[in-house]
Formats: sequence, structure tokens, C-alpha cells
Amino acid sequence: MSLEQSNVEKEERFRTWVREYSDLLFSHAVVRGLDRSSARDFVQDTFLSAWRSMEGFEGRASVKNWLFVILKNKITDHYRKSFSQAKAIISEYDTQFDEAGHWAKGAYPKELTVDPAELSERTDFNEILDSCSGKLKNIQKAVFFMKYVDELESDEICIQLSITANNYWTILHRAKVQLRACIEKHWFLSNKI
Amino acid sequence: MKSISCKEAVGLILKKEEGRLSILQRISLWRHFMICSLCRTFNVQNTHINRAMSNKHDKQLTLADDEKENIVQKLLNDRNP
Repeated sequence: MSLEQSNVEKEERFRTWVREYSDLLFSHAVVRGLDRSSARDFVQDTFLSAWRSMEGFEGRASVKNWLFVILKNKITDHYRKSFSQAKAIISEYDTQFDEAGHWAKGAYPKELTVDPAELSERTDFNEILDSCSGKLKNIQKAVFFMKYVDELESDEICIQLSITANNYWTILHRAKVQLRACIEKHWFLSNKI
Repeated sequence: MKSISCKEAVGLILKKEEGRLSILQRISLWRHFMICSLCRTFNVQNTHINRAMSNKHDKQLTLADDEKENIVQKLLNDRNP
């Protein structure tokens, strides 16, 4: 087979893969907290890495899995790199508890005016959840999405992000408290009763 | 037994998700729930946030055709620098 032939074949192969898998990869990146344009860049980078290292694919059973491994590694790297910046943040979290560790006045969790059982199915709730989880710091996003979307155990998340168990619980604690407060705030803004 | 703060209760609620509470911690949390409706509310909302997060698995988004074509073009440019 001539070089030209094999190039044409490679191009055809990637056209097919982009057609079949780019939406899945894109959805995955967005679900993990990236905005639309960064998610698209990550998908682009994923295909570029695949393009440059076809030998990485040899012997693997599934193209889809291979592409997903590349994408996940890229996203995890991206979040891990920003961990050092996250240490210095003073956030909304600090206003949630008083010095004794009780809910601060004005930060009392309020019941959302809807049957809790149907909350997770409601479009408006999910829009608020997306917008609020998008505001988390990168390292919080990484922990949060690995835990709740990928459903990994904390031990595994600590290894992948190179953080200690104490780091992990602190990050998750802050992320959850901030996220809940953000959801509550926006819920009552859009559901004035 | 020493009673726990709301902040500590939140920590236990999160650890509970992974089944990592000792018996003493479970009792502490339960006793805290008895006297603190705020943390009970937090606990309920936490459960629903988690449920909504895990539903996101299925969410299907799409790239536009020209965005896909752009991806392919960048690959072809990479071959011929």
C-alpha cells in the first residue's frame, strides 16, 4: 500500500470517528463541568492526540474507549494543574457557618417549595444545578464530577488527583455546601412565591 | 457523648454516602438530626442534588456539523504542517 493510500485511509477513519463519537465525547466534557467552548477544545485535542498516536490504539478492542481514556486524562490533568491555585481561595463557604460551626444566620438551609421527590427531574432545577456547579473552582469540579458522575470511590479520586484524604474531604465539604447555597439562592430568585 | 456542630454534621453526611461512618459517628449524626431541622433539610437536599448529578450520565449534547468539520480539518492540517 502506498503512503498516499494509507493517508487517505487514515483520513476516512477519522472522519468516521469524529462523526460517530464527537457528540458523546462533547457531552461527557460538558457533564464534567466544562463550558461549551472549552469542551469543544478538549474534544479537538482528544482527536489530535489520537491522530498523532495511532499506535496507542493498536490492540485495543474499542475506539470509543480509547478516545474516552484520552479525554478523561486530559480533563483530570487540567483540573489537577489548577489545584495549587485553589488553596488560597476565600469563598462564599466561609459565610455559611459561624465560629461555633453552626449554620450562620442568613445561611440557614431553607426547604425548596416543591416536592423533593420530583426535584431531580425538573428542568429548572437541573439548569440551576448546571449553572451553580459551573461556578465551582476547578479542583472542586474535578472531585465533584469524579464522585457523582463517574461514581468513583474517594480513594481512587485521591490517587488520580494526587491529593490526600484530608484534602479530599475538605474540598468536597466546601463544594457541597457552596453548591447547595447557590442552588437555594437561584431557586428562590426564579420561584418567587 | 459530646454533641457535634452543624459543620461536623455536614462532614458526616458526606462520609455517610460512602458508608464510612463508625457506629459512634452514626449515633452522633442521628442525635444531631433530632435537634437540628436545618441539617435535616441539608441532608434531604443533598440527596436530591446527588440524584440529579447521577442522572446527568444520560444527557446527550451535540456539536454542529461545521464544528465537526473543523475538527477534521485541524487533523488534516496537522499532517501537512
